[in-house]
Amino acid sequence: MSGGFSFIHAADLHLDSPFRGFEQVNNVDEAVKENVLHRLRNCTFKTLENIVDACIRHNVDFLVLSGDIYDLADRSIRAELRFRRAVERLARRGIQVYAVYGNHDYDDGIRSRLTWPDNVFFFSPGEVEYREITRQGKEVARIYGISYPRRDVTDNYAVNFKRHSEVPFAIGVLHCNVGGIPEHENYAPCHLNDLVRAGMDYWALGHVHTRQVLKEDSPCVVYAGSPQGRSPRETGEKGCYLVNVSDNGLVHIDFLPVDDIRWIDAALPVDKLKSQDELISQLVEKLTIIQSTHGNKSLVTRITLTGRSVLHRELRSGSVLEDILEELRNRFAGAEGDFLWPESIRCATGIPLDKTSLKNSETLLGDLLTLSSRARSEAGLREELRRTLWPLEEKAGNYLSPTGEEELTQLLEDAEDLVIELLWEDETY
Amino acid sequence: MRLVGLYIDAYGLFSNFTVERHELYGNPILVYGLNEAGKSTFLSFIRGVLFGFKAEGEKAIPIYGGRPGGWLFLESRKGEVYRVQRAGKGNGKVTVDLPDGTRQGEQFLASHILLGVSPVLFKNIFALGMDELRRMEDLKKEEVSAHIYGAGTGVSPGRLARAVDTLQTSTREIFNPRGRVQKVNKLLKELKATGRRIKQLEQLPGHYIKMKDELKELEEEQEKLAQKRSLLEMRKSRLENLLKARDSWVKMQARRKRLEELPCIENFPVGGLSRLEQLQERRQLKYDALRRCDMAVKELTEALEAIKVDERLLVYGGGIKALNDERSLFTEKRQRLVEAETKIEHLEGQVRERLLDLGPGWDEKSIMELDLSLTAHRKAEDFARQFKAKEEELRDITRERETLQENLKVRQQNLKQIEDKLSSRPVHENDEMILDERFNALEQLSTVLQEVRTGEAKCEGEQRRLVDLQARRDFISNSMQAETGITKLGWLSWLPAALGAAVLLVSGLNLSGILFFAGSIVVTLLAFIYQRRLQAQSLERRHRLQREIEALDRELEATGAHLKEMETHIATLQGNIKVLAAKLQCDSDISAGDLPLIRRRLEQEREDRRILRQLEGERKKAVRDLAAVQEDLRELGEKERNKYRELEQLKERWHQWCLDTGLPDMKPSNIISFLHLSERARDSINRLRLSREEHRQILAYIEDYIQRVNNINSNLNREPVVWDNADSCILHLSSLLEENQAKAEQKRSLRDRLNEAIAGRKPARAELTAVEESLKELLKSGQAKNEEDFRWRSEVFEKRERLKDELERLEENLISLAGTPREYRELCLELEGSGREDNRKELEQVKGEILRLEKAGRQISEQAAEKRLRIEEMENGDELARSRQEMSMLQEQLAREAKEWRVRTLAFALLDMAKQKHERDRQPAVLLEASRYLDEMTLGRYKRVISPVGSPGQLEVERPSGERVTASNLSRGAAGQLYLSLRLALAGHYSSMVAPLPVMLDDIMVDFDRYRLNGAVNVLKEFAKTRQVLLFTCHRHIMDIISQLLPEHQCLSLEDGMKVI
Repeated sequence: MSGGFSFIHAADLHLDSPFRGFEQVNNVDEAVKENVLHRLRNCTFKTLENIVDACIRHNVDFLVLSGDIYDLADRSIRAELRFRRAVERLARRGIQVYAVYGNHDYDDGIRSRLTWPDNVFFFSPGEVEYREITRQGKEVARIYGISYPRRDVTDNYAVNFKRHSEVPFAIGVLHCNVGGIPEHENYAPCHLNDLVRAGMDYWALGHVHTRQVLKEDSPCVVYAGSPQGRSPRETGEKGCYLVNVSDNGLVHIDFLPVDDIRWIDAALPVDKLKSQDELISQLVEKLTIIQSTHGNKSLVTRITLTGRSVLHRELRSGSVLEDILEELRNRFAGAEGDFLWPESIRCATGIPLDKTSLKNSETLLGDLLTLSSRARSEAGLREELRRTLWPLEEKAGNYLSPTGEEELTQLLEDAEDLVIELLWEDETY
Repeated sequence: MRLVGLYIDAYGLFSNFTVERHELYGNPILVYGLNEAGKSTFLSFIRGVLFGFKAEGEKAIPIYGGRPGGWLFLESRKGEVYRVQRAGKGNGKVTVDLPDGTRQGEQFLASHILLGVSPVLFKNIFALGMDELRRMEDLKKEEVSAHIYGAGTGVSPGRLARAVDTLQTSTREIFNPRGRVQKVNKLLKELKATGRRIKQLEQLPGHYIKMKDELKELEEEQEKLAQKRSLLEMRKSRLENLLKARDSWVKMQARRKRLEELPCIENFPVGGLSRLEQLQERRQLKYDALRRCDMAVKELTEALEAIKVDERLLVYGGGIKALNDERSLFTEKRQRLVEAETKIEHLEGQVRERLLDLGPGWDEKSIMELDLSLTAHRKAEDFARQFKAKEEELRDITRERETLQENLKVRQQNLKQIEDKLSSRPVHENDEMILDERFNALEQLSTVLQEVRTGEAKCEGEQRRLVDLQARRDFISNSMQAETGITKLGWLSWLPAALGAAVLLVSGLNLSGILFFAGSIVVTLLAFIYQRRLQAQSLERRHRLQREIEALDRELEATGAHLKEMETHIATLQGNIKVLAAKLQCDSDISAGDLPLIRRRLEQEREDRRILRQLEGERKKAVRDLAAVQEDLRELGEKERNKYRELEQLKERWHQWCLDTGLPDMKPSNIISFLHLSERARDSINRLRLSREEHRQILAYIEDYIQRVNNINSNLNREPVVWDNADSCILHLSSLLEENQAKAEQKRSLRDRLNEAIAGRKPARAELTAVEESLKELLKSGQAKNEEDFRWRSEVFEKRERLKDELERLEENLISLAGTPREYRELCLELEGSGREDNRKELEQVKGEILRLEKAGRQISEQAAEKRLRIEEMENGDELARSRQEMSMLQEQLAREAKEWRVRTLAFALLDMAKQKHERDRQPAVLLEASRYLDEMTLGRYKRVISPVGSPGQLEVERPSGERVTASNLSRGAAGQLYLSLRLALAGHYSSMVAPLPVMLDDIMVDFDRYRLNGAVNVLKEFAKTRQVLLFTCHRHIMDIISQLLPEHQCLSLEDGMKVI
């Protein structure tokens, strides 16, 4: 075995792609708004800087990027240039960069024709390439990789990876979907066994945005996950992996959080709360805890109020939630520096009511609930109800996806709750 | 369910209130009571037990305290009886006792007894009041349907209509397919605009490459222009050089020509002419130097011979000089000697005076032997302080003693005064205790006298009362007599009859007689009746008067007894007065007026005693003070004696010390000054001694100085000196010495110079010879015959050299203009081949071309800068990112609004469907039933209730003729009948479908006239056949009609929360 070495494995940077999932930044003054929006726009670049800082701080030998560095669809020169700048910074420290292109930044031959420093190598599409990694003139590892030639690759690229026998340590870099994970497009699909059979010591995978270690060793198969969450579905800590390979080829991985802004979901049950003041106090306490838990990193938080409470009507009326949101934004976000941005407050509370018993009653509400229940199974009724939604879909079809089955069911549920809210009276009369 | 009994533990104004089964047997149950009897509370209790007390508000609060509670007995159709009990604060806790003995809770009540009937439904259908009926009359027609639905749907009236309106309005606000200002419509517009902007910005990456290429082309073009311009600049420079070089070149050609014309002298010593002149000048100098040397020798020799020096002075020069150096010292010493003698004289006088100050027996020796050290001073000061302290203490003691003696005198006088006062005070025999007893007796006497007065006044009053009572009794007795008299006149009532009979008889039984008799009979009857009445009244009055007399008798007796009591009491008090007067040593017939005098007397005695006590106290204090002062005096005397002893001891020690130190025996306060004087004397003696020593030294010096001066004078054969002229003699000698020394020095100097001058003649000659040799050499090197020739040859050579220099300079100038030697050659060739005018013309052309190229270059630079700026913007600008961010936010907003719109649209659709179902499935049966009730209630005036198809919001009633009238056009009473029919129909419907609960109607017929009331009661009669009905009313006429028309009813009367039987 050769000498030990280390590298950082990152993937799915999606540089300069927008932060999705929040509606608007308002109820604050312009300076605060600009601070928040600016940070959101540039969080992927800051994350890239953090990755480069981590490479330098840990004095790694090289950096591996497993695809989707940026979105070609976004056509951002800024992204390419910033990436080049980061690579140049690594070049000055003598740190190599090995990258493959994924489904978002596939290599179709048409690029901005930027010149790249010598320390970066992009694996080509078409066939698996390899590069030797040397230290003091001696090969310590070999890195294999292949890029996407187009967006939708359906071939199993994993089977094309073959380790050379003399290689002291083999690293495979692939942007793929192992085991057909449903939340992600099934590009370059493969199975874990395919990866094992290739004979690599470490698989640096990309495409799945949630980090996970599919296999601890022999080989070590890792999805680094995206280092920066960009939507409400990508919550929690994000980062990359520092991989240390010892002299005898043992792999030790450490997760490094490098995200600039973190998306956090927070739920607050309101069952026992009696007044708005209590609610605000609880929210402030919750957000403060969240803030300190995440080391005062910048956060975007979506708050959901749950439970059944006497506050339900009050919360659903007028601009109560907006006012509370404004109060929280002014407390936790400033004109500069880190912030906690309460993105929205969603009211998932309800009237303290048993829908099942109401459904069985011979009342108008009971009839309505019965109809709604039937609509979940009767195609005709369902279709009749779906038709009422067409005017919107005709007008806004370019921006809205058609209502799916699950979504329609949820809408019916929400419609029931709305009607109950409008018609139901408490026992006080 | 049927209500078959209830118990109210505490609820409103009810407490421990029971309604038994047999009291609820009939149907309907009429609960009658005036206002505030408890009817509404009764109804509220039933609702509260079923649905919770909280909703009933203040009605539920028991006015007698405790917590609301009670139970209902409900019987099902199967005859099973359930007991529903609720008690406690808030909503209360409910328990349901089942027929099988088990117990259940709220859930069972809702699911098995109420069967899903909500509080609102119950209120709208099963517990109906006038307010609910009246409210329906104010509804708009669109809301009637909703109201009906509300009544039957578990939704409060109007809420359904509001809900529908809310859904429609809010949906329209969010999105309208043809709208522009709705939220979604606005968002779509913004999204389009943002999308367009993004598309434009997305073109930029493509433009970026193109722009970079264009920039590259521009830079290449710029490069070419620069090169071309460079060449033109070079040519311009060449032409300018040609023009500049032209003059130089012409000059150069002229110089060449002249050079050729001069004789050819190629070699000549460098700087020959100047060298020649230098050598000639040097030669002249050497000649002059030699001549001067000779002159100098001659002069020096002459001067030397002229100087004469006294050698002897020089021999003793050292001594003279030394004496001269000391001359000022000698003068000063001489002066100081005089001063020292003066000072000695003065000091001797001072010493004598100070010794005299010290007193006899003191001389210099003894003063010098005295111990005048610091220790001795301190010791003396210490003694002095001690003496002073002791004397002061003694003085203090003396002062204090005098003060005490004065104090003693004052105290003795004070004591005497007090004793005098004591002897002048009066003496009382009795002691303090007897005096106190007398004061008590006085107080008691005052009280008793007061009581006697009061008692006598009361007796008087009682006596007057007795008299009054008696008078009243007599009056009443008389009245009774009078009443008796009235009854005895009853026979008078028969008088008319007798008269009538008499007339009849007299008239012979004719008609008039008969009529008169009849009249008399009538009168008699009337009189009889009147008489009877009078008698009855009289009897009554007599009874009353009798009762009064009896009462008066009782009172008289009581008053008499009371009076006797008081008199006895007064007699006792009189006895007490005598005893007390004896204690006070007064007459027994003492009165209240005597009391103040007695009191004054007693108080005077008390005062005397007080003063006596006070004086006695003062006397004792004065005696004590006197004794204290005397004691102080004694102590002070002792202290003074001690002090004197101490002083004596101190004096002993002082004397001993003075003896030891050799000091005179004097007071310590004086010894300090003695010491000071001794110090002064000693100081003066010391200074005297110093002065004397100084005098001796000065004298010795002066004598020595004079001796030395005279020694020198004798060696120089001069006269000796004395004190006064020694210094002047030395001064004179010193000046002579200086003079001789100067002459000697001068001679030496002249001698040295002479030697030098003699020595200097030889080299001067040698130098002259050398210069002449050099001159010859020079001439030879210049190939000149003589010096004139040399000069001529030098001129020619210089001319040639100048020309050559000029040529060289001109050539250099041209080379510098050209730049390099090669270019110079080209320049020269070009200068030869061209003319000035040609060059000028060409220069103008080149300049023009350069300007054109500059302009073109600037334009390209501007374009390039613009391209660079745009490239930089593309590389660093975030316009696209901002736009994308905005797009993302708008899409999220759209998604939310779209979801909201979808939910509301679906809600509206579902609600519409539910309404239709409701109308379709439930309404017809209800309307049919309502029609039947309305027909009966209106006595056939209105036959049917209709909700027109397609107009679910409207209600109409149909007359027998088929004519339809809308509900809003009905009269108030008719509308009330319509809505009551509908409510009853709904109640019937729900009773059969949901839960057959009792129907409770709270004074709903109060607005009905008699006919409507009859109609409504008839309907209720039928209604009550199939379900239990409780009617609440406070109106008697309603109760009467019900009683009349519904014989099977049962009445429950309430008053103040209690049943009235």
